[in-house]
Amino acid sequence: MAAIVSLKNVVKRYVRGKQRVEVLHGVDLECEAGEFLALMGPSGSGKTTLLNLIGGLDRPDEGEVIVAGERIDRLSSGQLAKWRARHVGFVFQFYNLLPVLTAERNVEVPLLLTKLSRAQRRKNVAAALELVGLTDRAKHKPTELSGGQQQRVAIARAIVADPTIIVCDEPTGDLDRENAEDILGLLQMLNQRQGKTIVMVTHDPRAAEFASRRLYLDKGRLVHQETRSAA
Amino acid sequence: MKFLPLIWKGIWRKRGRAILILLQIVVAFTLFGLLQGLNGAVKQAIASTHADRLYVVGRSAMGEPLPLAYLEQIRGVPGVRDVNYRLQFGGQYQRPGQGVVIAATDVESFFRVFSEVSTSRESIDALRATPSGAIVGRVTAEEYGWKVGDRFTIQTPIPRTDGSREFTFDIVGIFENTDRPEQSIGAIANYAYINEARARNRNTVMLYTALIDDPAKSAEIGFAIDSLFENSTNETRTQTESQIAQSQIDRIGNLDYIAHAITGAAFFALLFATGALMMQSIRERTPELAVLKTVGFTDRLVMTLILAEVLLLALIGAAIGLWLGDFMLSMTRQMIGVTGMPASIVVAGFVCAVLLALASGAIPAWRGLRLQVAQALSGR
Repeated sequence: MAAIVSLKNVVKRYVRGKQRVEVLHGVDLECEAGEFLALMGPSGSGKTTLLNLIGGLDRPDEGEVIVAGERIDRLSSGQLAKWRARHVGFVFQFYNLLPVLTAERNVEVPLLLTKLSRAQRRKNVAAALELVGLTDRAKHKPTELSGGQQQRVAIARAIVADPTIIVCDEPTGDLDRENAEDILGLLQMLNQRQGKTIVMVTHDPRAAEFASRRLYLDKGRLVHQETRSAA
Repeated sequence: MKFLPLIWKGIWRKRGRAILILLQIVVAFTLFGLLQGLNGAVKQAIASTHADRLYVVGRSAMGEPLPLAYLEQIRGVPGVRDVNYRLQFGGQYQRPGQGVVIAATDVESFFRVFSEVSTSRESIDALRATPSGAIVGRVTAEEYGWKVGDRFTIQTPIPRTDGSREFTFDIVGIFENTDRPEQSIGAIANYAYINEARARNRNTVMLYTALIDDPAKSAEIGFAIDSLFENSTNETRTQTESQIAQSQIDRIGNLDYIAHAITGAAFFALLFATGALMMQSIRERTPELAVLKTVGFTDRLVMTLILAEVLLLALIGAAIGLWLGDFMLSMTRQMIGVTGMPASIVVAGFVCAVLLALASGAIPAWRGLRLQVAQALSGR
């Protein structure tokens, strides 16, 4: 299968105070279409930085980032935003829903950037909410939903525009075990039944069990990988 | 349009703060509408005065008696087509607060010189034939329920030879001011009726109004009239109708300066208040703006959404404020004769609202534009 994510010799540095800190040291990574990849590692290992580079939220200081066939490290800020709208769905640890909007309006937000009609947008939103099992909570605001339900809304928002890849940053980090397993099951279903490529950052080994491949980062380097058998 | 619900929800994210900003804008634009509207309406009223009419009054003060004998001399000045004389005074009808302004005059020349004051030929003839007759303004007639054939008595400041100050009038007609219908007030009476009865200042008038052929020569004709009575006991001052109106406005003060200074100060304060509240709002919403950028909203689109929020709020506030200003202005109509807020002030108000929104929203919008998604999401 073709690589949908390809990172070559990626270096990322941050300026902290007067110091330049290198957080990724020449990372090479490939992820195939339809894969469910878990990025693991201790705090400060560079997991989220790597995820941000894959999701086009940040640019590397050195190296190449090719995602969905596009050399995204060369795109301008505006081009990158449009690219994200077309190709990436995001799921965050703290859901990051807009508190003033209802669940269905939150899910609709990425579709506002498309040329879809209002009716078509509503139809797609309904389908996404049905997929995550929240049709009956469509009119509720985030404050009226549980953590697990909010994360389901966030997943519906991530998939509503039919992105090429879904990136998740600690999607179960704020949830109890039961809700966490529900969310991971949902992501696994999207991966296995809908064929969505998922890259997930987690420090929870039990969450990583749901992924088809696990990559371990330490001090800005990929140190180890494990692949789950197809069984 | 599809972003409108997002903008609208953004405005009302914190209801209390949104109402506070809106109230500030409403108050500032009410002030703007009232003061600039008043100023503009007064300017418009001055500009619409009759340039072909000159007013001849006493040099030392308006209201100083001028001899009736000046009439023929003024009429003889080259360029003067017609002249009317007038003794004008206020009276009280039945009880305090019920005022009636009486213009005691020569009825024929009055209706020739003041062409915007209209009545029937029969009314004019009736007034000439009835010494105690009066043609009453429509607004006054409606206010007191008067009609032709009625009789009314007023208390005046003019002492009569019999010691009283009462004058009784028989209503013989109704007049209408066609230029400004709301100014169809007071009553027109025979000069002779008042003059013969009064104890003092007989054969004097309060002012002459000269109708001239060429408004461009008003200064020249005015000078010629004043020259006639130079060094006499009753020197005159001749002014155009707009000069009279302007001098009356000047009594209040420099309305232009007052209006600009107050609204300028209000807008200046509003700029900082709105800007600070918007900054606070944007700071609080940094993660939300980061989410919008994450899902694909470009930097410019986020900046536009922030500006649109301020703009929408400013336009709503301005619309309410200008409406309130116009409403308050209409309440002063009876007092100063302002007809309403000129359209130019409404347009200027909305232009100010747009500029104010752009100025106060510029820094928050710039912050939104520069927001780095990865940093904002990580709380850095």
